[in-house]
Amino acid sequence: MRGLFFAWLLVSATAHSDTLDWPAQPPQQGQFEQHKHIKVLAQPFVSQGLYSYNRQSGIVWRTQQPIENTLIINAQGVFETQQDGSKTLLTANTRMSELLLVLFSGDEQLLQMHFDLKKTVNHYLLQPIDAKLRKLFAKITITFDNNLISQISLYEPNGNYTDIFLGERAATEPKVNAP
Amino acid sequence: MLRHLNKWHVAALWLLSYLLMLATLLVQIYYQSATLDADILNLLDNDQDAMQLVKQASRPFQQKALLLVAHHEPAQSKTYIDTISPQLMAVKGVSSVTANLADNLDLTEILAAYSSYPLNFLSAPAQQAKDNNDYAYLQQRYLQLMSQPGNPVVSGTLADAPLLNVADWIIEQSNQGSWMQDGNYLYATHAELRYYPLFIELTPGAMQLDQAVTTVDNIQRILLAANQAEQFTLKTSGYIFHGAAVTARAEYEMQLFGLISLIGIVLLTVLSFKSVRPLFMTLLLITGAVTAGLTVLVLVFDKIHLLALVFAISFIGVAVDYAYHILLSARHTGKTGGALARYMLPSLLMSGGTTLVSYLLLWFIPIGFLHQVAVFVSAGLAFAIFTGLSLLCWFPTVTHAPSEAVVKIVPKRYFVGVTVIFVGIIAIAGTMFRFVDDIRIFNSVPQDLIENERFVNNLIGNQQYPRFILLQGDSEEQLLQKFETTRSAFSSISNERLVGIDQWLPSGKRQQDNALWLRSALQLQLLPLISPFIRPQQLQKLLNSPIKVMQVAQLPQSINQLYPQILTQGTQKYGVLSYFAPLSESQLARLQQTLPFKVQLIDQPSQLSAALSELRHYLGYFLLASTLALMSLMLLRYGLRYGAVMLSIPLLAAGLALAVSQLHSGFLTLFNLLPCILILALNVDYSVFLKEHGRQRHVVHAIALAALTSMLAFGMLVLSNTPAIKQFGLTTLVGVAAGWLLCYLLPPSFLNKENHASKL
Repeated sequence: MRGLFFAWLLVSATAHSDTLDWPAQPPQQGQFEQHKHIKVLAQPFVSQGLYSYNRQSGIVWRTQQPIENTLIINAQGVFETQQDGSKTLLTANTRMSELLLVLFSGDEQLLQMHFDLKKTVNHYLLQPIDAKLRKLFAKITITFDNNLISQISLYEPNGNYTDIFLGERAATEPKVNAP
Repeated sequence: MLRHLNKWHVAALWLLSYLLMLATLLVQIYYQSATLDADILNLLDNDQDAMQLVKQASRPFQQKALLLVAHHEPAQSKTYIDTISPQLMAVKGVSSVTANLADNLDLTEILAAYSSYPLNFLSAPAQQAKDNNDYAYLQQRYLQLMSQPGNPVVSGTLADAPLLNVADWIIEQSNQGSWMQDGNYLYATHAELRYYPLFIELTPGAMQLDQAVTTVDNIQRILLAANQAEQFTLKTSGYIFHGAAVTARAEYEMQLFGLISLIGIVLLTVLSFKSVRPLFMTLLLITGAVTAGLTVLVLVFDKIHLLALVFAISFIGVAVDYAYHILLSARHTGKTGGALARYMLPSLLMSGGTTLVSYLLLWFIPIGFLHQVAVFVSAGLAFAIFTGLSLLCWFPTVTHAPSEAVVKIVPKRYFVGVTVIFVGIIAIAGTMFRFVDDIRIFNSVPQDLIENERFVNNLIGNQQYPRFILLQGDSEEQLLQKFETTRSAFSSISNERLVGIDQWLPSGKRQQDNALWLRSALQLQLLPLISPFIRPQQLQKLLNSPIKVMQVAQLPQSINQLYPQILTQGTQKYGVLSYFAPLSESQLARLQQTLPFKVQLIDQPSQLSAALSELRHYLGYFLLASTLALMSLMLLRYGLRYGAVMLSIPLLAAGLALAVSQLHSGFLTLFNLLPCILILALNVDYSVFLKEHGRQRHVVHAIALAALTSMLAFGMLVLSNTPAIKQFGLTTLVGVAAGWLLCYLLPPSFLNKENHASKL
């Protein structure tokens, strides 16, 4: 009987993609902290910086620690800003670009096209449908805080994972012009 | 013995000879002992090694086609691409279709292959840092790459190549050039419209001229069907579209012109003889001649060039004239059998002999395909004369009593007047004679396709029509080192991107230098920002493993197939680098001066132009030699006065044909010179028959019939949209018409039939 009760709890807490209730993400900016837990690394790699998102210009990902580096992720791809201000397109990153944009956009149609989604109380479990994406990520979890994404965890098939913490929404957006 | 021959003996002899030839030909075809070659680069035999390499190098580019799709709503373009991609993949001859070239790269395979050489590869900025012995770039790049939110290249190489120099190298190599990215689609923008590309790879079979038309038809059908609901702007680029368009038009023209001229020739022949039998006999003569030509050709040569066949078969048309002369002689003189053969023998031997001698001179030109023309025409003409003297003389059509008469004499002043006009035109145009060999003037690609190519070229640069730098080395390693030196020298003269397999494979020496430099950094602990993340066992492996060098054989398959291969010939290795925008002569000279070794710069349009120029020069020598040979034979048989007059007719006709062609087009080409062989051969025949038999009705009638049929067959080509065919047709038309007119007007005093037999 207790087993049945737990099963009911599990089912009721898990919603399939047809009842998806992904909070639409408004334009936002803030700080991030990224922890890369990679087995071959002697210690986790931690980076910090500022990010911003809006639907038109995409994501600006400005790392401040341990090094200054800016990425612009939008529908045109992933661009790396060089020291001279020029931007280089990183073609090997297209899947990641698509993925992050889909997560931030909250576009339900796109989300359902790319992922098999399961919702629990305040976070979502995403499992890639596309075989190519599945080679890169076994699963992704997204945690919301006040309807804004507060944590993204990317799990690779080889056991490595990356935690990205978003928080302390700053007033100032990282100043980078999108291409 | 000839006296005991009857017509059935002769027919049996002819039939036996013909069947023997036919059987030999069929056996040769069945066992495919000779193959057909349609490559224009094979016309010239010189520098064959370089030709082979360039052909192999250009093949991957020729097998590519590009489609650009634009719509004011970009999402529609992407949907269109998604819709047609699987349909195009199903087309026979299409081997792959992709919207993003990166899809063709197997990232997993690439990461695994390069990670096996963890210290060997440095991106261009890293290489520069190495040259300055500055490790700051490596550390900075490591931190940048690690900071990025999930980069598959980083995570895929980190375990085996923990300095991330390999990841940095692969990211640099994967750059897509001038394309922008829209998700997994690429695009380029023009006039606020996004043009999304679809890269199509074709099989080698699809590029065969006959298959190309079908493949392009199928592609166009799919594009049109998907374009009905929404109006997309579509641009195509690639060899196959040009090849298919030109082939389809040439096929249509050949069928149309061939049909019209065939109907005309049949009508002319039937009307002239008022009987079908001469038509049948003429057909037998042509069939026999072509069979003889083909049989000897397949016996002598292993590989037969298509162009040799085209020209040879057109020249065999000369043989038709023999049929007309024999059949009209029989009709008007009443002679048959041995008597007719004896009557025709001198003129046939003289006209056929001069043509044979002329064509045999082609043997002295060091161009294989002209040897084939010589062999075909010689064998064909010999059998045509045999058919004429045997079958046609013994089975003529004598429908009524002999009606021989001399044709009305035309006043001499007409001949003089026409000759003066011809000489005047030749003199005026002769001062303007300008031969052009540039292959581009023969370009008959439809204008819309050319516009498409221009558009694509302006939008993203030339991607499909490369020029080549050919390099040679004693070993793969030496060749790769030469690639690197050339690449460095090239970058100092042009901003143009140089494409080659070395982009993904540095020389062994460079790989070793890189590895030693990185290893010394680890040994001397010069990478303090990276070291904390490297596990001790990883470090030991990097420091202690022997340094291996990646070679061509270890390149990932998906990369290997993108570039021209390194080829081995004898003890030498050959490879090519390609570039797209043309370089000036001075740039190319500077490149060669900068390099410590010789490179061969190959620009295919220039190479083809040079081939045509060489061919034209050889044809010029051949025409000169033919004229001298004809002159000798004419003088020997007819003496100085008559020989000179008779030779002047074909020479004037050829001169006028070239003059009119020059005045019409403003220049002359190889395809104006080639018909001069035909003009000389036909007009020599006209004058020989006139001289041998006098100005008799059957001779004038036969010349008129021969000239008219030739003018009809070749004159139709003037209507062609293919420049080379049009030029050939115009020159032949004018040359044959002029020769006919001169022969018709030739005064009897110039033809005074004297006792020239004694001069033999």
